[in-house]
Formats: sequence, structure tokens, C-alpha cells
Amino acid sequence: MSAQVQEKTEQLITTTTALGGVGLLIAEHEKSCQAAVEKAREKLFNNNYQECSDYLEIMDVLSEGKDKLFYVERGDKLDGLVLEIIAEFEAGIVSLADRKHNTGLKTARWNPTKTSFIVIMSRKQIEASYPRLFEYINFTGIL
Amino acid sequence: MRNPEQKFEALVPPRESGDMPEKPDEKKEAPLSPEEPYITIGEKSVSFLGVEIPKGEGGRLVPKAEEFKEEYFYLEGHYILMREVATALLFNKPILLEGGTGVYNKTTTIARMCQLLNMNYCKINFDRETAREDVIGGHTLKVDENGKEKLEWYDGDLMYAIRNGGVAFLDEYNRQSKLAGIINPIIDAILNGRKEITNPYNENERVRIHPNFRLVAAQNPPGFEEGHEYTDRSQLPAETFGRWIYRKLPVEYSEEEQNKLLAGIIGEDVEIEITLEDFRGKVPTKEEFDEKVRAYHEKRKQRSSDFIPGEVSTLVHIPGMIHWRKNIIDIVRVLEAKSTGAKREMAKNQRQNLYFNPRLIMSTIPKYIATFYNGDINETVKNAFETCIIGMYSSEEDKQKIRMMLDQASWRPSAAESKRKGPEREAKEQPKEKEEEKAETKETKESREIADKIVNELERLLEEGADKNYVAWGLAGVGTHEAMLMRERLLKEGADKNYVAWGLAGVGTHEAMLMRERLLKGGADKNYVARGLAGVGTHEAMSMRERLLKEGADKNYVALGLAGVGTHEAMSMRERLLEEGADKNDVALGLAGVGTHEAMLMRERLLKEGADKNYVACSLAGVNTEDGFDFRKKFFGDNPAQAAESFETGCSVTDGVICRYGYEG
Repeated sequence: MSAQVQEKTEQLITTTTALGGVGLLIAEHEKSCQAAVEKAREKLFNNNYQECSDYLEIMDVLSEGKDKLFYVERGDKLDGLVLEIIAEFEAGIVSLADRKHNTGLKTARWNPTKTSFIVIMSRKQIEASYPRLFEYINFTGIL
Repeated sequence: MRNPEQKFEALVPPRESGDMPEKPDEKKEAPLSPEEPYITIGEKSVSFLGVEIPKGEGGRLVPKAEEFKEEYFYLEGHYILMREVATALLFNKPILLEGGTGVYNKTTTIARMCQLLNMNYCKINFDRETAREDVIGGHTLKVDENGKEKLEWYDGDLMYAIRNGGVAFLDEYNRQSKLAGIINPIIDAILNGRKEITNPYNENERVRIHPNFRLVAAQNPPGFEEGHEYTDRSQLPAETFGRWIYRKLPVEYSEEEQNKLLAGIIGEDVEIEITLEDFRGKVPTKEEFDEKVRAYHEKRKQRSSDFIPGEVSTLVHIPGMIHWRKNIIDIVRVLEAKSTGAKREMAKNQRQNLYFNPRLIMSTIPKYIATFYNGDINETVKNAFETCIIGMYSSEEDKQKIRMMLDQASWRPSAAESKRKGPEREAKEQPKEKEEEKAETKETKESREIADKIVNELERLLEEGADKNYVAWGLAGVGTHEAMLMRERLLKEGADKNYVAWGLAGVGTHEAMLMRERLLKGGADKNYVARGLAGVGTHEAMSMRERLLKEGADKNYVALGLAGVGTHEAMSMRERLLEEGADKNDVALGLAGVGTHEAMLMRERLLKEGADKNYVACSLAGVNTEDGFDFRKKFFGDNPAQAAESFETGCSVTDGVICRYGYEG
């Protein structure tokens, strides 16, 4: 199973780094979800991806011009502000208030065709998320 | 130079006022842009189908040109939409666009207009989870020069645009979200013509609305419309609705439009049906316009004569790409129909709705093919589907269904041995493939010539007194403009509607579908319309079959009218018709022209279940695959009459269509 996870992650990495865009890795089975996510993280780290823990970190990493980043959803559903970044990913710009440091509006710009952003979620989290989520996802891989 | 305050106030229609915006110096005109002659980008202004808008003064929210790197192509509808939005901007009127998701790329089109016009663009989505502090603004804690902490207001994008001018694009305007509740009072004040608004989040600050601030909104229709369901959208109250210029757009692209759009994106030379009548304000002369249209087509033709890896606009040069262009659209349309709504057949146990972003067809899949093309177009397209679509489905059965659809749709070059296998072979076989490309074009040309010949011949026969109904029947499979005109004439001159409907077999164009609808309204027999759908396997045609069945059309006629359609959806319908009691012989006969593996298995099963051998033999008309020949040998090897019958082609319209134009599947 770990080889399969590595292979699927590798495929998504190849596609999103070549074309840019948002890739969604879906941990299909609840039982093996944790292990699959860990394997995928390992693969992403090996490919120089940077992990972001919330929307602000994503915006910071995008603003720095880093072109490989990923986010693992830890809540019950996709965070609304991460969704905003995903939804506007192809526009290459997003402005959101910095709620953590209370420093006002923060704007991040990036090149959507050269930036690979991978989101990892379980099927259960996806089912609970914003109904039109798939409209904003460019590529999907199933772990 | 105009200052920002004067920029829009000075705008009046160019023909009606002496205070015209400065005309771009024609001698110094910017180089021919890809949109010429429909959009003209001058030094100081941009004209959208003649509606000329001066460029703005810029700002931090002006979209950057590099944000629009994606391959794009505009249809007539895009240009008309831009003209209407430009007119609204010109007259400082808010405009509300209502249509389906992705139709005419509303969001991108408005952003692109702002980029061309050097105007701020601020998009606010009423549907998601952004909050007041993102859109309107909020307070931050700052330390002043005396070391004292103080709260300082910052502007969100909407407030920035209100103060500094620009276009606020309110997406999903009729969604009642928390954010909508916060923003709507501000928007209402602007719609009421106020010059100032109150910002309740900043000690009731009075904010002057910049004279160049403009409102554009977009929404999906509330509730059900044309088979699409848009939940959680509310009807706008009359007083709100009345303040907008309301522009209705289609709920979805027609299949024809989708094909045209994708054809343009992949680099085919597509005709844009815009004439001088579509221009307003600054109308070019006919000579000027014709010359620019010629230049436009010339420029497209000159882009490249070979496929360049990574370049979507050169995909047209990959053998089989035109075949796949049509099939990608067809398959995604079928998947969308089967995977959405309460009665969906696929993704049944998934709570998450599957939305098919129009960008999938128009951008992501073409980009994937252009980047990962490995010399085998079938394999590349299948890989694209694996990565872009199949992953959305959780059930293995659904995934297999999609893979089967892709297998059935695979491109088969006319000479089997020339099928591309890899880049290494590609280099060696280039001359051969050039020939294939030429053959493909030649084939299209030949089909067109044959169609013209048939129409001319039928014209002649009609003049010589041939029965109008037979002429209508004889038009089967011919979908050219001339053929459609002839049908219209025949109807006017009293031809039987049923014959005209039957004679539409093999024609799946939008125009033909509209004619079918009209014939049905005019009282044509449902069964003839169903039968006359033979050879048409589009999503639209399948929906019509379903509707006809619901409205009482005879199952056997529907089964017969499936001839020539070998798609997965058509095969499922045959199964259902059999389950519901359709005659095995008619189902068999309606397999004519379908040579897929699945169809051969069905024939075999029908024979086992007692279908008449003669009907099954007739169903092999137009099936000249290896499988077809094996089948003939296996089942009719001992009966020369039936074996001969299996090649029969001329006895019915259905067969005629299949043999003249091949089959789908």
C-alpha cells in the first residue's frame, strides 16, 4: 500500500509541477487514512515541498515565490480561508485579513501556472466541505 | 491628461457628444492584438465592439497581464458580453449578469477587461467564507510615534475600490450568506445613487464614492432552469432587481459552442460570427473590418504548422486531436449529466457534489495533453482523464465506466499500422503522419462535397416533380446549412413533418435539434422524431430520447432510432429498453452501424435469447470491423443468405446514414 501511495503522490507531483495548479490527494479509506497521509507527506518533503499549517502560512509561502507547497487538512472540513486561496488560485492573487497577528489586509500574489499546491484530505473531510470544492481542483489523486 | 475623477464622468457615447473621449491615434495604433478586430486596444482607450472606454489610472488592484497566460479564445457571446459590460461602464450603470457557471467566463472576462483598461478589479464572492475584515476592512493595532498603541483602520478590497475607483465584481450575488448581509447595505446605498456611504465598522466614517467606481454582479438563476438546479439562490426583490441592467446569459454552452470554443483554443481556424451590425459607437468601415478579419485568420494560421510541446494552441496538429476534441466534450457532458442531481446514476453514494468546472475541458485537459503528449493521443487523453476526472469518483465501478467510455471513444487512424506509439517513432514517421493529417482534411472536404452533391441532386429532383416527402427522407445524414434550408422549404411547401423528422437522421447539429423541437411542437409524431435521431449520440439527443420515452414514444421506435450510436449511454439505454419490454428484433436492428465490442456481445446475447437471425444480420450493416467479420463467420457462416443480408445497406434511411457517414461509437 505504501508503494501505491508513493506512486499516486508522485503522479500528482509530476502533473502539478508541470502545469501548475491545485492537486487534491484523497485518502479514500478511513482506516488507513493516517498512514497514507504520512506516506504522502514524506514523499512531498522528499520532493522539496513545503508544508503549511494554515491559510496565513500558505499566503506567506506563496508571497515568497516558493512554487511547491502542501497543506494537510486537520479539521472536520476544509478551512474556509484555505478554500478561498484554492478558489482564487488560478487568478494568482488573494487578499485576506491577517487574523493571527491582527495586522490588517494581506495580499499574496503568485504565478498559478508555475506553482504546485497540493492539498491532502480524507474522503470524509471532502464530503463535509464546501459543496463546490471540485470546481476549483485541477487534479486529483486517490491514496 | 484626465485626472481620475474626470475619467468616467466625461464618458458619453462617441456619436452623440462633442465631448468625446480622446480618440486613439490610428497611426500609432497598438500592434494587432489577438482580439482584433473585435477589441481594439489603443494607446489611451480600448474599444469593445465599437464601445470605446478610456483607459484608467491604475491602482493596486489592477490585474496583471501575466495573470492571463492561459490559452483563451473568445466566441461571439464573449464579445457581445464585453460590449454590454463596456456600455454599462460607460453610462455608469450597474450590470447584473445571470447565467450558468463558466458560460462566457464571466469572472475572467471582467478581470481581463479591467486589465486592458488599467482599472482596479475587486472580486467579492457572496458564496464562500471570506468575512467583513477581508472585504470591507477592519482595525489593526499600531504604535504611534509617542509609543502609544492605537487602533488604525485598514481598507478591504471593496472599500479600496469605493475610495479609489475600479470595478467591484459581486459574484454569486443572489446567495444569502453572512457576508452578503454585511455588504448589501453598502451596495444598496450605491445602487440608490448616493455619493457617499457610511462605514459602520469605522465609527460611521463617511466615505465618498469615487466617480469611477462601477458595479458588476453575476449570479446563477435561482432554482431550476433548463435542467440545471441552483440551490440556495434567492430571487432578488423587485426594487433591487430594478436598479440593475439585467443581462441574461445561457445556462450552459451548447455542444456546438463548446466544440467551437475548444476548437479555437487548440488552434483550429474558427469562424467568429460577428458582423458590423454587432458594433456600436465606433463602427469600422466594411473594408476596414473585412481586412482585419482577414488579418485575424491569417495570424491564427501563421501561428504554427506543427505541434509544439506545451503549446495548447498547436494541439490541432496532433493526429486524432480533432476526433478527441469532440469526444472529450461528449464524455464530460455525459459524466456531468450522470453524476449530478438527485437522480444521478454515477457518484451515487458520494455526498460531495461533483462539479465539472468548464475549465476542465477548456483549459486543464488541453494543457495536460499539450504537456504530456507522448506520441499516443489515446493514451495521453486517458491519462488526462485519470488525473483530472476519474479521481473525483470513489466507486471502482464508476471509474471503470469512465475508462470504458474512453476506450470506446479511442481514435483509430484510417491505416491501423500507422498508429503512433511513441516519440521515437514520431520522428521517423513524420512524413507519413503529415499525409494522415492531409487525409483527415481531405476526408472532411470530401464529406462536404458529397453533402453538396446530394443537396443539389435533390433540388433538381424536386424541381422535376419528385415527392417532397421522399426528398425530405433523402436528406438523411446531410446537416449542411443548405440542407437545413431545403428542409425548411419543404416544410413550407407542405412536406409531411414526420418524413422531415425521420430524414433528420444522422444530423446532430444544434440547428437540427431545434428543428426537431419545432416539429414536435408542430405535431410531428414522437415515434418518427425518435427514429430520426438515428446516428446522433450527443448528450442533447440522448436527453431528447429520454423525454420522448417519458412522453409516451414507442420503445421500439426509440430502440430503432439508436442505430449508429455506440456510446456507453446508448448501450445502457438499449439494456433498459430490453428490460422494459422492447422487442428484441428492434433492439437488434437498432444496433446497425455499431461495431464496438459491447455491441457485438449484445448481438450474441440477443441471438441466444431468441432474436430473429435476419434482424441480427441486418444489424451488422455498416460494421466492417474485424469483430464484425468474425461475428458473420461464427453465426451466419452456414447461411449465405443471412451472411449477405448482414452487408445490406440500402433498405432503410438508418442504414443509408450509417453507410454514408460511418458510425459513432
